Amino acid sequence: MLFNSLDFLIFFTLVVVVYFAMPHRFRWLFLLAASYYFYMCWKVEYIVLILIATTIDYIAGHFVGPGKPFRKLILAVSLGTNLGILFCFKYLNFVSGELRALFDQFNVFAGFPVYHLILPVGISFYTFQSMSYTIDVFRGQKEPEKHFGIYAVYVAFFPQLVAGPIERSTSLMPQFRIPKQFDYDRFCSGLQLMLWGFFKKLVIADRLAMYVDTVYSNPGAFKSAPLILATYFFAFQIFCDFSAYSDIAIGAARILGFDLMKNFNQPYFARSIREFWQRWHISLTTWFRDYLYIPLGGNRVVKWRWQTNIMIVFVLSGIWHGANWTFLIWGVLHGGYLLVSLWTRGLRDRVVHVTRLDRVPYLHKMLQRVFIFHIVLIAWVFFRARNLFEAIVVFKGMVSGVPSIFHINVALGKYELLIAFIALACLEFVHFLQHRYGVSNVLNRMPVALRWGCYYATILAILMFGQFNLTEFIYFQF
Amino acid sequence: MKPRQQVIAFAGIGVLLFSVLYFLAEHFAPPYPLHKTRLKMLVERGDTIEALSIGSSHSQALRFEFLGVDGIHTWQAGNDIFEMRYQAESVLPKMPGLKTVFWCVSPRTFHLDNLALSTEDRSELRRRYYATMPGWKFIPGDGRDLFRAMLTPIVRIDHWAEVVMDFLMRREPTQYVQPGGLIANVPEKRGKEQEAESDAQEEDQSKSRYATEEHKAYLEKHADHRVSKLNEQIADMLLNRPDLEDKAFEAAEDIIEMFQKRGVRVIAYTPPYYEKYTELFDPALIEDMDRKMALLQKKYGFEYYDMSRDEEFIHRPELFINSDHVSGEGAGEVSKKLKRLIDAEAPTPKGD
Repeated sequence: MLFNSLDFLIFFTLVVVVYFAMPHRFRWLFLLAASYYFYMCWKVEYIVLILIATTIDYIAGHFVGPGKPFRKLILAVSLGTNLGILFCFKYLNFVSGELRALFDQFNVFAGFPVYHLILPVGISFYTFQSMSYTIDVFRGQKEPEKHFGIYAVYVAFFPQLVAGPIERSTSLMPQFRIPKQFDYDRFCSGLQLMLWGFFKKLVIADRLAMYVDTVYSNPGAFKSAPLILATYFFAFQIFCDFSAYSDIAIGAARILGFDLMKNFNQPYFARSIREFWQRWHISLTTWFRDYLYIPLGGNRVVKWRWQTNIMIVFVLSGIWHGANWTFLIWGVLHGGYLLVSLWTRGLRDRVVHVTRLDRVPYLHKMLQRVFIFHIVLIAWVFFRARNLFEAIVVFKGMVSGVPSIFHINVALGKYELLIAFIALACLEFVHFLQHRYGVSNVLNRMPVALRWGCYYATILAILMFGQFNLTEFIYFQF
Repeated sequence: MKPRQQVIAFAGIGVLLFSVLYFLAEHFAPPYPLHKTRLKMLVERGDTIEALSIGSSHSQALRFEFLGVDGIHTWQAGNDIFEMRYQAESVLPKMPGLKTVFWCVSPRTFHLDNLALSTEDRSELRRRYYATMPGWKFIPGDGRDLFRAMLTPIVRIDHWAEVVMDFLMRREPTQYVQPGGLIANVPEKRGKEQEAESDAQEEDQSKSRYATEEHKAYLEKHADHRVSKLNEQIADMLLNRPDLEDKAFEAAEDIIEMFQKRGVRVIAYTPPYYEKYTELFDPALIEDMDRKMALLQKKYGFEYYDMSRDEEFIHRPELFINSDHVSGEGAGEVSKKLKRLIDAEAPTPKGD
């Protein structure tokens, strides 16, 4: 079931009504049933994978706490099962295919199998969430959960089941035990977020997707301007698509009385790569930080180990997104950017001083933002291209010929392009407000008429200019 | 204001705003104007219209002027049989004078369900039906498209471009509906004389255009592409809806019963297809159509004329605009032949 579908609106309305109408002691059961139904709407059989991960991690949780015998072994079994499922469904065919190609190079025709498996939606999200629980218990940061139902809802909580935010057991699990009353203010604030999420997904992301998909499905057919514009569009498409999902998830959970972690914080306003990763997909970044980077030693090791740790985290972060060399390169690029930024810190400071940019902080910040946005943009080409060859074709195409605005309407008509640009301007305006004052503050301080005007305008913009052809969220595939 | 009052006020103002926009959209650029015009014509002349044509775009093979009856077309491109049944249910009460229904049957009729197609989104077709023929009925399993159709004037596929342009520029419509309900393109509104002269020119041009070796090659290529695409679509639909064939047959029975109960004569026909099209088409599907039509004929005793493999047409490229649609000239000849068959009361020997 997609968030951007009528089915979800009906489903969610019913869930809210029934949830608040029923006594607290049954709510976990209702949420669990609703969450499993939500997932099974996509593919019934794959609920088994969630059940396996849930059961194994629930049992493991009771035996991995500090002082328990064989706890390391049990943790390894738990993590191995989760990662094994992930590997089978997400990476097995890729590894098999690459090995086959490698052996073919040496005329060794080994019969590596090909499995026709459909990637289970959200598998990377719920396995990471489930794994974080066992690790937290192992570290003694969380008591093992006694109630299987509560643990099962934690793993499968429908707002964030298929595309995050990846929650922590210490933060989300206790919330299922707290009795909740319907709160009008939370309801309004949740709806605000959901509405903004729908706007970003339906008006911006899905419109830009039409352009990006056309260009990137056959990059060799385009030169210069369309390729450049498609890459810029993709940067906004993926941001709007993914952050829209997060907004809708956080909004929906808020209406039900739950607080989910913030997943995006205007990443394209970042002034350094480090800051970008503190603002982009925050729940994944912090997951890798807490469960990979720090256990590897973080920055409390010798320099070369520290830099290797950084690279390992980014490479794995890239591979987490999918079984393709393009994702790996994307991760390597980001890791590389961060390392280069560390190596060149002194040099950059000197350049800023010599050019006196430090005396014009506004310009300095703006240049930093523009620079970071563009190096991120370069990495997005690899992320979006179907393979490395096509990524290179995109880069070559971008620099061949002089870009002309007269050649940009390749997939969207002028009117559609105009809507896209206006919607992007709205997005940036809202980001500016958020950056300066906080959108909620601005809205709450407005007179009712003006505030409602904003709501109506957003609803009508979604209805009038939204793309209602039910496209999935990009991050579903991860 | 208390929260409850706020909710009521917010919803009330929202409905008002929505209604204003709805009115504006319907006034300046109503969605699906051609189909609505066609339905309007049908309602206005419901007492006098004697014949109705239902089916897919293959129904273009029927020209009422050659049949000598006052009739109207309701087909829309890509129709499946469930949509045909919906159309029939919707228009029948509006046509008290109806005497004959011409039902166009194709080899794909019993294997098509637009809702079951996963490779392509055809829900727009359904929404068009619901928007054109408003009501609370919908094809089973299609409630969401009915709901979306209700929002059509606001949630428009043109994203309000038409409303804005028509409002700003007072543009003239560039299409019109012919008296028989067929949709045709015309560059601009024209005088009658000019129209007749230009139609004749167009017909001459189309004759010369279609009677070439180049066109023959095009038809062969088209048949190849069309049939392979259809086969893929049918396989996909059957996979997604295993009971499709049974349900399609039930829908066919419903259509016939519906008209016969009203005392309307049912005349089914299959138009001719270019030879290559039938040659490439899955023979099992053709046999299935033959078998099902024979069963239906036996049960309901209606007339059925199968011209799909009629030697009089299938080898003549000039009669086809593409491999499964006859040209204007072709439609004339097909309709004349159908009239001869009906007049002679000599149905093809099927179902015996």
